[in-house]
Amino acid sequence: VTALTDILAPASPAVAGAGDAALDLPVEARSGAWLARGVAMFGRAALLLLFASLSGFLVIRLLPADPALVILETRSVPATPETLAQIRIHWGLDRPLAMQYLTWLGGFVIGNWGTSFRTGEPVARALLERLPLTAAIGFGGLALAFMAAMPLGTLCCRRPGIDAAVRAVAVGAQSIPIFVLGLLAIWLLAVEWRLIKPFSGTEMPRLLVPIGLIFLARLGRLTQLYRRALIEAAGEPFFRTALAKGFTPAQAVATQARRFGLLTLSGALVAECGWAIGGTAVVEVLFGLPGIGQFVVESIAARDYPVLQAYVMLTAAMMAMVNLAAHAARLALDPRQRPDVRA
Amino acid sequence: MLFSIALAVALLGRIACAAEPAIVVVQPFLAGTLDPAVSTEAWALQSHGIAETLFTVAPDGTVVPQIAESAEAADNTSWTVRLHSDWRFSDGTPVDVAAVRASLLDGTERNPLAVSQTGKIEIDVLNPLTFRIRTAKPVPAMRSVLAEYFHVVHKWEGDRIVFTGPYRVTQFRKDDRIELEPNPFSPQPGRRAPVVVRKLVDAQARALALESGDADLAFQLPPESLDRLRGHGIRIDSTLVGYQYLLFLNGKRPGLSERPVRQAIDLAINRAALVAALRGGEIATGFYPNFYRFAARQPRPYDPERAARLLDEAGWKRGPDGIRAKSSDRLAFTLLSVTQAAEYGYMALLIKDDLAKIGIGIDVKGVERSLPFLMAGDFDIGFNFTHAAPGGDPAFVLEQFFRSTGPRNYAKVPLPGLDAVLDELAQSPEPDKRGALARKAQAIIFEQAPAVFLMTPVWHTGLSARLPGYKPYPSDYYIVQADMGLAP
Repeated sequence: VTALTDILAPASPAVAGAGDAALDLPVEARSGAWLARGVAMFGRAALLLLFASLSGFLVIRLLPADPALVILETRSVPATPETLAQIRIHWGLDRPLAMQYLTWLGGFVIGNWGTSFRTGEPVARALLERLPLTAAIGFGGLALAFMAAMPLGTLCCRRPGIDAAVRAVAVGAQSIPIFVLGLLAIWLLAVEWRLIKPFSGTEMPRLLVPIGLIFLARLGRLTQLYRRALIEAAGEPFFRTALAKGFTPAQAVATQARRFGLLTLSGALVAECGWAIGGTAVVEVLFGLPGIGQFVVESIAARDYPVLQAYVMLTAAMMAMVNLAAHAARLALDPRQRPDVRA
Repeated sequence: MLFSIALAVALLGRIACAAEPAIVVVQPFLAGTLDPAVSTEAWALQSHGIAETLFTVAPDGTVVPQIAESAEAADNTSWTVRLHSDWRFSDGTPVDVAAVRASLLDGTERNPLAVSQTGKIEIDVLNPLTFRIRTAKPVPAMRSVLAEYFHVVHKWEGDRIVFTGPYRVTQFRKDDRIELEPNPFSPQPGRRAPVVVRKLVDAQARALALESGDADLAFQLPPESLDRLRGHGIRIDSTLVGYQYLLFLNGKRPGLSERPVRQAIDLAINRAALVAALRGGEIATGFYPNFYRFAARQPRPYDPERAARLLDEAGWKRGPDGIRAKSSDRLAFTLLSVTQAAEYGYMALLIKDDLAKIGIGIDVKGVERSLPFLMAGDFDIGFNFTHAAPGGDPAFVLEQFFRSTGPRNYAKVPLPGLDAVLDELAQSPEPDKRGALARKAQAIIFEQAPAVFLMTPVWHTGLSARLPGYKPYPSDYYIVQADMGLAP
C-alpha cells in the first residue's frame, strides 16, 4: 500500500500482455476459437431469454388477483360473473395458459408485444418510448459513478482522509433507502434553498437530480471496489515485476494495477445494472418521471400482463447484453481469458 | 363601433389569459390514454375536466343533469333522454342526438366494462334533441348509469378525440402531464387560466411540490405533512369523501356464523379512535358517508360492555388466555389487512386491542390485495375500502355486497328480508323512495352485522394562494373543476 502513496503520475505506454503469445497460433485456430466462444455466448443468451420468457410468464400468472379482478376492485365496476367473463375474453385470458404463452411468445419474436390492458397502447411502443429516459437516469448515473470511481479510488489509496470520507458515503448511501435520499434532496434543493424546480420545467434540468442520486448511491461502493483492487494488485507478482523492470509505482499502477481495477469494476457491472433497474424505478416514481420504471410499477398493481411479460424480456435482454459487454471488457483487459490464448 | 370594442375586449382578455401562468395540479394518477373506451381510463378524463357525461353527481351525492336535460322511464329497460340544446364539443360543433348516440355506442361496443350495468344498449333517435335508450338488463336508475364515466360524451375527428369538458387538451405526455386550455365553448373561457395536470404518485413528493412553489394544487396529501404546509401559508382543505372503510365478517366461519358474535364485534370497535389514528374522518353511520341524502343519521354505536354481555349470553366464556371459547370453538380470528397503505395497519392494531378487551383474539395478516381472499371466501375478517355510491345511487353497493346472490357477498350471512327490499328498490325510480328503501336495507344489515362499517375518511388538498375559492369535490372524480381557473 505504501508503494502507492506517490502515484498519480502520467501513464506510460502499456506493458506487453500475455495475449501476445496468441500471435504464435495459426490464424484459422484463432478465428475458430473466437467463433466457438461467440456462438456459445450467444447460445447461452438465447437460452436465458427463453427461460426468462417462460419463468416470467408463470410467475406473473401466479400473482394473486388477475387483472379482471383488479379492475373491478379499483373502479367500482359490478363484479358479476358475466362481467368478469367478458373482460377475460376481451383480454384473451379465457384460453388455456399454454396457448396464451405460445401466442404471446410468437408475437413477441416478430415484434408484436401485445396491447396494454391498462392504457390500450401497444406495449412495444409504450416501453420503447419510455426507455430513453430510464436509460438516461440509470445508465447515466452509473456511468458517471464508474468514471468517478477510478480517480477517487486511486486518491483513496493515497489519502486516508478521503478514504474515510468515501467509506462514509458508501455506508450512508447503502444504508439509506434511495427514496429517502431523494426526498431529502428535493427538500433541501427545492424547498429550503430554492435552487431547482424538480417538478416543472424542461426535461434535462429535471433529470439532473435523479441522475445525481443514482451516481451518489453507487459512487461509494464502486470507489471502494476500485481501491481494494488497486491494493490487491500491489501485492501481485506482475506488479512487483513491473517495479523490478524499472517502472515507478505510479507507472505500475497506471499500466498494471489500473487494468486489474477495471477488471474488478467490469465484474461488478452486471450487479450494478441490476441495482440500477430497481433504483431508477424508485427515482422515477419520486420525481414523477415518465420512464419505464414508473410505468411498470403501475402495471404490477394493475396486473397488466402484456406489459409485465415484455418488461421481463426487455430486462433479461438488457442484462444479457450487459453480461456480454462485461465479458468483452474482461477479454480486452485480461488477455489470458481470450479464447485464442486458451486454444 | 360596439362590435369593435367587444372584439378588442375579447382579444385583450385572450392576451391576458395567454400571459397568465398555468395552474399546476399534482395528483397521484393521470389518464393513460385519451381514448375513453379503454378500460377505466374515462374516469381520469372526467376527473381532469376534459370529459363530461349526460348526468353527473353533485357534491351532495344527488344526480343532476349535465349534457342531458332529463331522462324519463317508459319502463325498466327503456328511457327517453332529452339533451340540452346549447351544449357544444370543444371544437364548437353542437352536441346533438346523433353525436351522443355515436358516442354511447362507441364506448359500449369497444369496452365490455361499459355494459356491466345495462347489458347491450340500443338507441333510437326521436328528434335532434331526444333519443330513446333501450337496455338488455333492467335499469331502475338510468340517470346514475349515464353519470358513469364509461359514458363520457366524445367524438372522433380522424384519429383525434374531441370532448365537451371545461378544458381541452393541448399537450398529452403519457405518465407525466396533460396540458389544458379552457374550452372556448364553455362558460368564461377568457377569464380562466390554463391548467397543467402533473402525475406525482408519491404523496410526500406532492407535498414538497406544493411547498417548493412547483404546484398550486396538491391532491391527497399525507396527514403528517399538513402542519408543515400550513406553516408555509398553504391552505389545506380536508374533505369527507364518498368512500368507506369496512370489515366483512365471514359468516361461514365458526363463531362468526353466530349473530351475537358479529354484533359484539360491531359494538366493540372504538371508531372514534380509528378516526383519530387516521387524523381525520367521521365515524360511519352505515354504508354511506353522511352527506348522502340516503345515509343513516346516527353514528354506529360503541358499547364494549354490551358486546361482552352478548358474548356471555351466547355461551362464549373466557379461557385462561383471555380468549373466549365454547365447546371446541375459540373466538380467535385472522384479520386480513392490506399492506399497500399504512392506514390499514394502524386500524388493524386498534381493532385488535378493542376485540381483545371483550375476549376475541385477532391475528393480523397483511396481504397486498384483499380481494382474491374475499372472493374465494378465504378469510375470517377482512378490510374493504369502497366507494359507497358510484353514480350517486345507493343500490349499487347493496346489490354487490349484500344481496344473497350478490357477486361480492363476501360475508355469506343470511339477511332475512333484504332481497325483497332490493327487488323493490330495483323497481323504484323515484329518488326519495329509493333513499327510504336504502335506509330500510341498511337496518336489516345492521341487525345481522355481516359487515362492520368503520369510518368515512377525509382527503387533504393543499392549495396555493392562486386558488382561494377552490372547494374539493368529495372524491377523486372531479379534481380539475370548471371554475378553478377563474380569475377572482
